[in-house]
Amino acid sequence: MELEEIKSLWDDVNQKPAIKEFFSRQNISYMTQLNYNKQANTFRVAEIIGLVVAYALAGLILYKFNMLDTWYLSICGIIVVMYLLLMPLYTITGIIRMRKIDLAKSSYKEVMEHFYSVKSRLKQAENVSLIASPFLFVFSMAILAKIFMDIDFFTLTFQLPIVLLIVLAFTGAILFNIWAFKKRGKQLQSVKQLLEEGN
Amino acid sequence: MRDDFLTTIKENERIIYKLVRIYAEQYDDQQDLYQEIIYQLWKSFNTFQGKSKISTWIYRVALNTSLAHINLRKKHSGEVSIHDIELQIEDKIDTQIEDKIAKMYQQIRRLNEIDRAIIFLSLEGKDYEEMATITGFTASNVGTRLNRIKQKLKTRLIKE
Repeated sequence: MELEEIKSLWDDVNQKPAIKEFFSRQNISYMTQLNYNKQANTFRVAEIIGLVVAYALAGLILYKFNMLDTWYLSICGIIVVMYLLLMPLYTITGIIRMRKIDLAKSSYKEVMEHFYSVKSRLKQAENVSLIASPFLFVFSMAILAKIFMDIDFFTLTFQLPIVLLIVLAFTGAILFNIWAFKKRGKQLQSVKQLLEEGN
Repeated sequence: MRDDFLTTIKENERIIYKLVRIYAEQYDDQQDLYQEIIYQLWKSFNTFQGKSKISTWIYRVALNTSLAHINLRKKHSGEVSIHDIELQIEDKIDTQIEDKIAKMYQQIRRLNEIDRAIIFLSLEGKDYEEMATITGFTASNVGTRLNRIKQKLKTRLIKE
């Protein structure tokens, strides 16, 4: 297919009769009655569930906070609670910001820049989560073990193979997250480059 | 006002139709995007002040909505092939041409977001100035980009 052929095919599309399913007057009229469920203003179920679960867990830890009776367990508790309260909020506000753009008044370039800036912010949050997740997992285990079983996770004695397995899994998780971190960075970088070429 | 709007849409429906196929691959996704574009146009119809041509305004809103659509949505995992879509939405007058049109859309969809918008406007016969007004890039930048896109498409087309 040559470029000239693309142009000629484009002209062919212009000659074709309109598509009934897309362009019936009745359908358009229906849409203007604001009856259709605007997806852009609704959150995904996963986002809501994530927020509810995080806040419920934070509430539980705060409610049982007096059970975290050593300094290190208290610090674990504070870190996990802060993470559970702040991170979903940061993400949700980012998503709200992402959807707040006047598509009728902005130019294509402005829309792209808007998405790039919000996505950068969301990627930052994801990157923090990626790096923090192995540590948060350990902290959460310690907190939950204390709250539900009254066991101090950090004073438990494990056999050597189990310790090695934990260290291996922990290191693996960190390495995987660093790899994912770099990959995400590259995706955003390509959009940034595209925009810079326009300046 | 609704009648004016409906008439405007009917007069410019081809713009939306072609754009929808450039930005969405699956039939369901195309319908969703079409609805979003109509909704955005309707929402801002009363604020259109006639400073530019109505078609320029439609191009701008439709392109922006399409860009927002692909940024806000997760990628659609389609169950229907591109070929099936063509058969569903086009009259089966000439399968060979339909096939070529499908391939053409496929080639354009492979371009990045900016290139897609620029080649679309170029195929629509817009000059650099109008393309610059719609996209927000400078006219000279649009020209540079367009040459690069043509080169990119040519290289790809030769390879295939």
